[in-house]
Amino acid sequence: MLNRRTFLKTGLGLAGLSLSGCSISLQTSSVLISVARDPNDQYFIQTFTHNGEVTGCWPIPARAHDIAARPFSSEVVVFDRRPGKLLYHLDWHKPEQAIQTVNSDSLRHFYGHGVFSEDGRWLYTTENNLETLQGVVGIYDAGQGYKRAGEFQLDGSGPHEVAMMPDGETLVVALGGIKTHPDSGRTPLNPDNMKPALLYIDRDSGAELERQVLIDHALSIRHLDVMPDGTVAVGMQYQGDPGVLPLVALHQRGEPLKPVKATEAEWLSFHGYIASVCFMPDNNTLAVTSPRGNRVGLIDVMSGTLKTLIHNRDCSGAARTASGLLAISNGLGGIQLLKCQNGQAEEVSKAQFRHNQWDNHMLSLV
Amino acid sequence: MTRFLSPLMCAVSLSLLLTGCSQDKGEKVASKTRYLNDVIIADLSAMQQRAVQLSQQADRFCSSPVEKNFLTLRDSWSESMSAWQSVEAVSQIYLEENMESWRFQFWPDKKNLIGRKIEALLKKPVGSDLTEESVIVQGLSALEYLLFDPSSGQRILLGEANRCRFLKSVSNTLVLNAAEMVGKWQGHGVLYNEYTSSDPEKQVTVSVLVLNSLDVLSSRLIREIRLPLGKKKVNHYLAESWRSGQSLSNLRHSLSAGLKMTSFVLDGHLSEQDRLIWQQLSEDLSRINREVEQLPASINGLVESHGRGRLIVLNDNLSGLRMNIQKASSALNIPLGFNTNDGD
Repeated sequence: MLNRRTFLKTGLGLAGLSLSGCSISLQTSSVLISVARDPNDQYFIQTFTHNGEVTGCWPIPARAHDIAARPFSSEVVVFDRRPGKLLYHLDWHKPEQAIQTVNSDSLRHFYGHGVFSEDGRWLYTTENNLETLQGVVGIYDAGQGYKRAGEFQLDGSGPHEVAMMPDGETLVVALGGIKTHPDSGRTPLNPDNMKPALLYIDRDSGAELERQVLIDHALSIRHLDVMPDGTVAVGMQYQGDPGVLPLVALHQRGEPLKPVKATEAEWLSFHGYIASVCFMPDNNTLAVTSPRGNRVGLIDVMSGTLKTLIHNRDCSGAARTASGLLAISNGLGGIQLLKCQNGQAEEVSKAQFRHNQWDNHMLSLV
Repeated sequence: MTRFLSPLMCAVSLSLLLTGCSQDKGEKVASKTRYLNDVIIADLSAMQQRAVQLSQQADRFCSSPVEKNFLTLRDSWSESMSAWQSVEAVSQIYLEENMESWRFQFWPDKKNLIGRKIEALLKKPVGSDLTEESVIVQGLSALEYLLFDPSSGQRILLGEANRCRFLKSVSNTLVLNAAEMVGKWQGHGVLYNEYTSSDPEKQVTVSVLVLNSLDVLSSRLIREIRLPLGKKKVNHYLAESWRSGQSLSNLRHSLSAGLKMTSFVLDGHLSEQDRLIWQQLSEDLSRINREVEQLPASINGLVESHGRGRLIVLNDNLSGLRMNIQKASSALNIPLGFNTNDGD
């Protein structure tokens, strides 16, 4: 159980910047991208550097969610969050160019996440079938302006984050298990009958190759990340009053899900909610964020043990930068950069974007 | 050992500091100093005093385990718990980093960790200082179990020596923790340094601090009502202070602390427009406080009976308060949690 804590103090490289909305500076290295909200409740997609320079800004009509970068291209796709029906694509090298939008099928909506095939041709998105409330993986042809090319039906509801396994042929899907319909907003319709699972799907046939479930049906598997060796990490959100339950687990194909080791108090401190999950493959570290717990958790991947908690209010986005650092964004405009190793960290820098509230997810582009 | 990195007030960051406030820097600093002394430290000192009295009362009872002393001890616990509600409300933003609150009150306790851990520790020899034990057994929630749980309270009253020794250890630890907390807010204590830091990132105006505190407070109070009400099934054991029947009394003290915070802001320099916003929040808090005053201290009897409707109204009014806090956030240009309140 949690006893007295050891505080690790680090020097701060504070970049006290006061950047606003869509003013753009010259591009530098290590560009990040995220959705944000400004004080006037306007939403926009922004590219920026960890030290506070804005390099691109694209206003959008409503709050969006995650971002996927198209391989071999400077194109990125941003997904509406549920129950939104738009995805946006833009060239982040050309901030002067207008953003393009693509509508979902009329009987589908997006869940906020997607992933490209390794060749950049196909985009796979998680969607909701509004007639059956079953989950769907939508397929879009990026080579043809993101024309919808088909879909796979999933056996279950509420797919959320999807990623590509290292074989380039298998999709791994976090199936949240929650049924929702736009007519009832974002309210879960099946809180007592959720069936969350981790699914492995053949990207060509749509066949379900493997399904892993957890004992507690209220633990909604929402976010995930994949290591180059095929290890998958999942972050969960508890529907209802959070108890003392592991909220992060690791998985290897063919084996059961292995909950990360942490104390009861550490799990409680996440308030039942993990937002982003991000491996640092070269640093034996898995980072998870909990905006409700106001903390980042750093896990030693080899031992599967939570090692460090970092206080960061309303933290949510997590991205590994090209230089091997971990970037964390929060809803108060902060971008924190951490150097991680074996589940421990030193703070490298911190920047503040005065008028931005960073949304759930963030991606590093270079 | 899990480690925390850098006790920074990331929440209340540079962006917040510089937002619409007509006060000059000197006034802001003076206002913050007054808030520290008149609100945070004043409440903390009052709680510390109650904790000392509670510990003395525990010693007295264990020397003379008669019913009169037992009832006085229970009253002393109630006063300490009420005082803690205020401390938590005014300083939670600073306490959340290391979950400091759990050393004083552990809630909700879905799995009865308090009972399980105390009963396990009662089988082992323990000293008078439990600060190296689980935070769950160090504070007021542990004392509530010992004094008010039907089984444990009776055994203490019957003079069970081992249980009384443990009671004294917990109450002594509460005093130690309260003193340590006071130390953190005084002189060059870690929380004092954070609060008064000249680092731009750590500076916040009182308005920013109070609105964020009200946001956290209202969220907690809603949970305090919703959890025992349940969605489909009543669960008394998820009520705050269910063993002592002090749930709604705690809520009243929290609301009073909220009122004290808003009054402090209203006593300062505000534009006419900002004043109206803060007055609205103050009126909301007053109205809900009056409503709770009409209810019994315990929530236990209300959740299942005709009182359930009154709790649902209270829940709705607290939700209305929370909405008004979030509207105030936009109007005052003071950001509150974005992903916390509406993630995916």
